[in-house]
Amino acid sequence: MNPFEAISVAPIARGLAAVLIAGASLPLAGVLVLRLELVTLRFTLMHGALLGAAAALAVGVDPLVLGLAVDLVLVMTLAPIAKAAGLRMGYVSAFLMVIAIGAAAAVIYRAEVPAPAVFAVLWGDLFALSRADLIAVAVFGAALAAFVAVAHRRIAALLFDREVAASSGVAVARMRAAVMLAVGCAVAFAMKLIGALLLDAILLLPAITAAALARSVRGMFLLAAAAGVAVAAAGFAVALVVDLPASAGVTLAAALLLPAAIAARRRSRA
Amino acid sequence: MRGDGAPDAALPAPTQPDRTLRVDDLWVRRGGREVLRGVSLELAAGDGLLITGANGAGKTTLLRAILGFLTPQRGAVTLGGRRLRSPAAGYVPQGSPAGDLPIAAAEVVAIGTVARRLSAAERRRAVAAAMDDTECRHLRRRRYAELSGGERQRVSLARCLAQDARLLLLDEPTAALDATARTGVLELLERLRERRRLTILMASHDAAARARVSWPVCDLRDGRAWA
Repeated sequence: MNPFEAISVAPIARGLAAVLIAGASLPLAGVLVLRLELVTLRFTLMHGALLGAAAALAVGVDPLVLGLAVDLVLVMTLAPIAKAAGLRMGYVSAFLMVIAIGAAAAVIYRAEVPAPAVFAVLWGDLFALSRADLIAVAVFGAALAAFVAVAHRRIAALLFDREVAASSGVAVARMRAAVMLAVGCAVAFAMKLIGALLLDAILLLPAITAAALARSVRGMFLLAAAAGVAVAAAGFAVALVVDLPASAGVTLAAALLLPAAIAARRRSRA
Repeated sequence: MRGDGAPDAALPAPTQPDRTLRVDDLWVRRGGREVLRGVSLELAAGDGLLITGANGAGKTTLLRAILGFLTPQRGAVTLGGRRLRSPAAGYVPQGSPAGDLPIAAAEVVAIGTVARRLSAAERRRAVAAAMDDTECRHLRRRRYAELSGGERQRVSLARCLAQDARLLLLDEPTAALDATARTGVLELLERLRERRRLTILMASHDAAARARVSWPVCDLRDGRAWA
């Protein structure tokens, strides 16, 4: 199908709009995941979304809604559990990850939920987005961008040094909770769009590219968003032209961007 | 007030707000041992104090307890009679924070302004003025990670000035600096203390720092402060 004809088809147009919005906003959360070393948390949230999807299919609601709900519960309980148990967040994150997948298996078995339907969230489907999904992605993308724009100095302080941030008047615990909330929502939305297995393509790779090129925190966020849009647009176009799944196209585009950025950086410093 | 324009001798002279730092009987326990055992200090506005002691003597613990990062078993820290709260104290930690974070020097200084209610223009002016005062404005667009040790300390001090902090807590600010950079940083600290009446607590085991500044010395030994 001609790509220009294709995007006149409503599900494809919605998919394109969603991936562009996601490209502009999700890498902002990716920057936070990378710089605050929340990569383990990301795995936990992926498993949480899987549990949410299993529960949603068991009770007949939208997997995005329950996936989001489970992820929010996980991010809000992680720090209190770590504090109460005197354990590192990474350890508690791994613990919750195992609990989530165990609970998902129990729900799948007891509610007789078809496992393939649950594991479909690992792949996502850009073309299966409803109008309500698209609105939800747009609202979340705008909220995430607004959060980063308004709080970027406080975020910079948090990324720089927690004690310096605290001595400068940043409410570090509250700020960190807000960041984790943003990351939790971002992972849930990214799973819905391109699936758990490929979410790093849109969440992390643009952020890694930006970190390699940026000379300021502000520049890092802007570059991450720009790289995300470029990856989303290019990947989507490639997928339509060569008949690939959109998520695979986006991932391939993201994978090509990082070496290109590193080569560009080397050339500019030579 | 009299009508002849002469000053009215009956009016009280304008008083400076009390900015005395008091550390009163501070006990801090860490890792199963009492690191600080009843440390007490008192510094008036504009005073400098050099905190010395061997590695593990509790210098960093004292600074972190004053800042409220550690909860003491006993004792209190007050500034001007009130509990010390951020952002009243500027803090320059030991070593280099940020790692490889791509953060510009001006962004580091702007961290000091996060709790101040400033317009965008006022914020820019505050950052520029603080960087002027520590002679590092020319570094504003450079990546913090690429600066030399001495340049980083100037940027960190500018951050504290942008914070409008009246009390500076510095943890080994001259460690790993060459002689020229060390002298530059110590002279800058002395100048800031005198001109801005900043109260400065500097933890250091650098003998050159002790020789360069004429501040009283508090030696930490066995968890106690020895003047």
